[in-house]
Amino acid sequence: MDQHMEKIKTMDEADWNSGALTGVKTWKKKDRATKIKVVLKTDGGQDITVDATYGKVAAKFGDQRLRVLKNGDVLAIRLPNHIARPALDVVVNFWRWQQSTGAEKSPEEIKDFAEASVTEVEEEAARLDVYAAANCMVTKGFEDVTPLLRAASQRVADAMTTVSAEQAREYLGLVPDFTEEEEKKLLHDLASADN
Amino acid sequence: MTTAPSQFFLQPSLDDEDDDDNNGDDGDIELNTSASRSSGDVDDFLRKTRAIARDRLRTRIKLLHREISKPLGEIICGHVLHRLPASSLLRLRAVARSWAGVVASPIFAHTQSHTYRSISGVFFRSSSVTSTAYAPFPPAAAHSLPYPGLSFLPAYPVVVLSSSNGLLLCHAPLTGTFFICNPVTAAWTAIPDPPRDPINDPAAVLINLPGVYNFRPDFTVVMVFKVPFIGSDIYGFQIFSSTAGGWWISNELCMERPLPDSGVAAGGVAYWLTSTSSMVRYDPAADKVSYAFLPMLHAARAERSIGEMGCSGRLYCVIVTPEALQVHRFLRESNEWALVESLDVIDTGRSIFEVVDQVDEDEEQEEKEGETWEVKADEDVEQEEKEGEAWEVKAGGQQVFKKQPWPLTFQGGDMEILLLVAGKVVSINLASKRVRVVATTGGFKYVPYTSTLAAVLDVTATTSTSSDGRSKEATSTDRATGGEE
Repeated sequence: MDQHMEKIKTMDEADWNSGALTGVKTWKKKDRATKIKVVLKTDGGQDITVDATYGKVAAKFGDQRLRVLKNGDVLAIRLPNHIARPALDVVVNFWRWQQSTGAEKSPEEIKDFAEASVTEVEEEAARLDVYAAANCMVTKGFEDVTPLLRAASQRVADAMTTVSAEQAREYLGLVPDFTEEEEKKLLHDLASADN
Repeated sequence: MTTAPSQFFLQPSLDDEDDDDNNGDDGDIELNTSASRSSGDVDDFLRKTRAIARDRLRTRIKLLHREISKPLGEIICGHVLHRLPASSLLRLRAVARSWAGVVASPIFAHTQSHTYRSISGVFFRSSSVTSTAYAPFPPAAAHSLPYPGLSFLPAYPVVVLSSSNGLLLCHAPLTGTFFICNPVTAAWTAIPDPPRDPINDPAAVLINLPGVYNFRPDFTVVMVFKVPFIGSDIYGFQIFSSTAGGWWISNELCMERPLPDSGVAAGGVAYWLTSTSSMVRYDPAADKVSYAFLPMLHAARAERSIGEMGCSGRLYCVIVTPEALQVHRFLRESNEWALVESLDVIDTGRSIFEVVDQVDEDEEQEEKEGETWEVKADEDVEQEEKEGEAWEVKAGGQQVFKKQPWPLTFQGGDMEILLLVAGKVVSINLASKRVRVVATTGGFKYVPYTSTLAAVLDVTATTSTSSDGRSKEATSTDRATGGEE
């Protein structure tokens, strides 16, 4: 142990990182300002490239590919098949707006822009796609998309206030999986109301 | 350099994970076989640490992939449902078992009660004084109640005195009983009779704060009573607290009569307008009374109401004069008001009563102008026709009420005010300018209501009352009692 400690004390940082002592490579904490390009790969092959900094694309899930990135490197992220390209465009536009001007804007202005981005999408089905895309991007680490996710969630909620259970099931592809007893109780609860 | 050893030996950080690629080369240590035993211990420690970090990384990546690949129904169940009104949730719980399980969860009910804060409708008394009715804002499918007449309560008829974040304070005039209930879930509990007889039309405020950390659904009722001295016009406060389980009487007195219909809770404090155009506030936590003048005190023919808006529990005052409709925010620190919004209700140089005359003379033209109003109103044709009769929008987007609006008490998390116009309750969202209208023909004494799944704490086991101070600590069960179905 003493020999190791002596050796460690005399090593310089480059030797330490190269694993000269034990073969174990250790990485420096990545500079959060490291500029990288992120390529979002969709199923249709129409990829979108966005500029990002390492700190903005959070490495909270320990994606080791991010650790080796240097300035100008490209990181490819594959998105699930159900993410529609038009919805991704909305999310990416919001992300780009956030990167370019978000730091100067107040939370209310960011919220207003997010709501406006969702409102521009006319069809309810398309808004649902935006919600799914925003959720995916936030999960992947693009946390600056969170205001857009919240705005999209609220719009989806507003659209769902009047749908019936059958309509929701049909749209989301869900199958009723109640037992006979549970279904009976549900129907009884709904029927016993004054309305 | 001197920090590297500490990171390496004492703090197995994420940096150690970077060596865990999948090519099988874990960076195994290749040391001279003649290395000392201590070197072997270090290697062993490193190996174990790397294995733990590797497993942790794998778990994280699995969670990430699972999160991204979740079906849309599951994502919506987790992130959207708590933004819906309670009435919609009762309907949507029939979608799937998982959804029913989520809606039935107490944690979900708690989350929904402090997330959904929009005004769903109004309770009001109809022409028969003792009965209560409910009018939901459109869309009715989202805001209607399963028991609008509160028939699940054991006493009937009942009147609604106050509402706070999904709970109602009701009074049965025939029996004199007071109830706390949730009209969506039909859960209710009776609270003990107050120690002092409240004045005929009780001025009472229900305080229910659904905070993020307030898992136990505690509530407070502040009720005014007249101090029983002949000729006196002095009022006191009696408070029921679910935490204490009983009533207690405040040491504070109020020299002005709080108006019963004006009571509202904001930020845990009860507020009333008084008969002398001022405002009295009572803080039950501090047992303190204070007064404040209302804004625009000298404005002629001004009608005022107070209410809570926004997520931070701030009090606002809506003032309607013949010239304008203004919204002021109460600054607690300085006891003053700040103007937040001003809506021009009439054309320049004309009083609102002249507008009414104009409507009578040229109704056809104003109906046409009403069609050009670009607001996010409901698409119900019948509603649009009614809106066109109640107000209009002149060229330039200026909103004009055809009849004098009367400000009502309001309470919610949105920036929303309530006005009474020609027998219709109008809700105006100050941020989005969304307008919702519901007809309440022959109604009076309006109480705004927010549809949530707020739980009702059963306090029937606690009936301790003290006439000269706080009551003894009493136990209460944390379950909601259900009413008759």
